[in-house]
Amino acid sequence: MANNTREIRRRIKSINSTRKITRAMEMVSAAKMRRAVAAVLAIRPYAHSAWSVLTNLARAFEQYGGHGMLEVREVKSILMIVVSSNRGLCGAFNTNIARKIRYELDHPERLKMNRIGNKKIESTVKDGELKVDYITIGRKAAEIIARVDGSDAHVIASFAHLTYQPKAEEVRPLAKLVMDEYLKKNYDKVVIVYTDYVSAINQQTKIRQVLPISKVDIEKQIAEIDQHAKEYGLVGPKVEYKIEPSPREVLEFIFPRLIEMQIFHAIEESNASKESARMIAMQNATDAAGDMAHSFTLAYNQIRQQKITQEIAEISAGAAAIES
Amino acid sequence: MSDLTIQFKIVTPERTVFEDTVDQATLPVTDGEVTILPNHRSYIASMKAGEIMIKKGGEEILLSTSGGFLEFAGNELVILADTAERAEEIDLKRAEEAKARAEKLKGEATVAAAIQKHAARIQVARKHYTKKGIRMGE
Repeated sequence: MANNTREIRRRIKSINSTRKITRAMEMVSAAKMRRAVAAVLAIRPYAHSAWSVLTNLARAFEQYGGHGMLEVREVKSILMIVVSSNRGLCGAFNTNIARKIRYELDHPERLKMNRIGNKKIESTVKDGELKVDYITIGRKAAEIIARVDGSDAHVIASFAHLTYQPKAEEVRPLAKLVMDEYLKKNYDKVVIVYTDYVSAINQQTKIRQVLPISKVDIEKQIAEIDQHAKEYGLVGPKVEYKIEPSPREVLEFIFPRLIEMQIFHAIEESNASKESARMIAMQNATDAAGDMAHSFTLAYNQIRQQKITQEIAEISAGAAAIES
Repeated sequence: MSDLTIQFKIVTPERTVFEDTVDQATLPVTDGEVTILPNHRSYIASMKAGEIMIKKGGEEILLSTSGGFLEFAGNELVILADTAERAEEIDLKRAEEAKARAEKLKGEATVAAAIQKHAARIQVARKHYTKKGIRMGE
């Protein structure tokens, strides 16, 4: 009996200290989430303005179909950028990413299709022969890919350090790698898997095309960043611009930045999602620890009371024996 | 003095660095330097690393940038910079260290861009310090 109470006391103590840790992690995540959400919002002005400039260059855009990054090819190989976290303990965050990738690999119709506007280019490659390579962001992504696509899946690069508050500059090497691979025609399509931050309790794992640059996708992205995108130049008055050095060069300058912005945005969204997923997971853990500590305290008190009752019974029985 | 002004905004993917109504802005475009006054014709250009000088009232505001592009229309100037800092935000000593570090790694294309960026920062910070009469160690 004595051993039992000691055991329970020890467990209560350990649960309480675990609870303190999860509570602290919850608060840290809440603070990080706030910062990450602010960072997502901070991209908006840039995205709007970039879009506005691009719209104003639209005429040049059309003459410019031959640019490598706009070139739409039949999809035979795909480069997939996967944004995950570096650590676990963030609920279903990484599991959802794995599930999303598995779904896309099992149903590759969408992955295989390339489109310009409404025009679609179907791939003739059989489902099983579609080549998919990966770039990982965050340490967990490599594990996810090994689990989903087998351990022989080819990861061409991994960027573990980009998961927490990346700078736009730090995304540049990744964007450059992606663009080079596409221009070298090693891949016919580049997509990014990330987690969209909808609200603190709702995050959605999404897949988005990065290359070839599709006007539809850019429009979609801007519209999602801000539903009022129209106010910011989509329907602005037609102005004759003087463009220096030349429309071609300016476009060449803008395209890489669009790619960077897209990847940067995806990472920032994932970041906010990850922290809120972790916050909720830790909140649940804290609550569970509280419940557990409570029920153990109850059990402990019951045993203690039983012991006291028993002792009293023994003493009074002894006293009764002496008196008689 | 005319009451014509420019609505000036400089943004990076990370933040809005500076936003104000100004009288004129001098910018490092790819082909040289351009000063934009109110009622300038509509203009789109790419920018290289360098300093941006804004005049507002009698005051001069300095910023450094590592490149980007600009759009001017209807007396609204928007600069989309890769990175940008206000002069007073730049720590001269650290900018010089960063440039020295970048120079050590010389050879790659990205490093050349980094050197230009830090050179621009140093230039802007120096001007700022000189103007404010702050003496820096040699």
